[in-house]
Amino acid sequence: MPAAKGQRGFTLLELLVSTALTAIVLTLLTSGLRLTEAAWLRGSERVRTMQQTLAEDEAIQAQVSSAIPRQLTTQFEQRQLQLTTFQGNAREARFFSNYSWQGGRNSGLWLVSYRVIHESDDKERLVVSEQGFSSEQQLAAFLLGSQPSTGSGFPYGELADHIELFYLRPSSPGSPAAWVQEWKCDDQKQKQLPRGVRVHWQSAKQERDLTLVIPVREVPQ
Amino acid sequence: MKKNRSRSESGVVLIAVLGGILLLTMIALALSSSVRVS
Repeated sequence: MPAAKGQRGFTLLELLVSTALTAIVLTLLTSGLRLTEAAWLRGSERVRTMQQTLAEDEAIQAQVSSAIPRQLTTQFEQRQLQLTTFQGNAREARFFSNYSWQGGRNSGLWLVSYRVIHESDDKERLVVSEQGFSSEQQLAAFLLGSQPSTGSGFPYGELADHIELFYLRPSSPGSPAAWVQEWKCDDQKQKQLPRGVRVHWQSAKQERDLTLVIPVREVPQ
Repeated sequence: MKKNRSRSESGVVLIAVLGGILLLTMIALALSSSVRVS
């Protein structure tokens, strides 16, 4: 039997309760959507950072492994010096490479410097700078440090409280292989490139090491 | 003859359905926020 006129529909209380429930569901859904969007943005940013780090790691590995071993004889402060094309200490490495961050592989010869600089708030950062090779005198001056690294360079890696560079000295009769913090280009006993370069980032939160291998190549005499 | 539902019965069904949706939404939100991305 059909309901009488005026008897159909919901009561006011039922409508109020159902409206309140709908409002709560909508509020929850909206806040859920916001959370999801924030998580999505965070994830995308993280993926982008990781991709950039990976690309930079590949570039720095390619550059270090393309270090060119060469011997050059030069006149410096009235002394005849024989130099090997790698100079490094805990704060800076200078070498000769045929890989450029700007031009990629086989884009000419480059004088490359990796140096640790102070940024604000007692933080340090590794900076890669490179300049084109023009003469052996320029290369010698660059290796001996009398020519400053030019340009601001590209920042590489994250900020850290302390960054150090190490160089892998290969084993020789009587001395095992070891990581050292000094590689002299005018060392007459060590006329070769290190076997690797290690960058060590140290922060209160975390430590990170990146080991870059330099393949063994004979130094032309 | 099929008996029509009374007003209060329809209202209870409506509120029960909406309450169910609310419960499911809360469960979904609780589950999604319990997944922690390191």
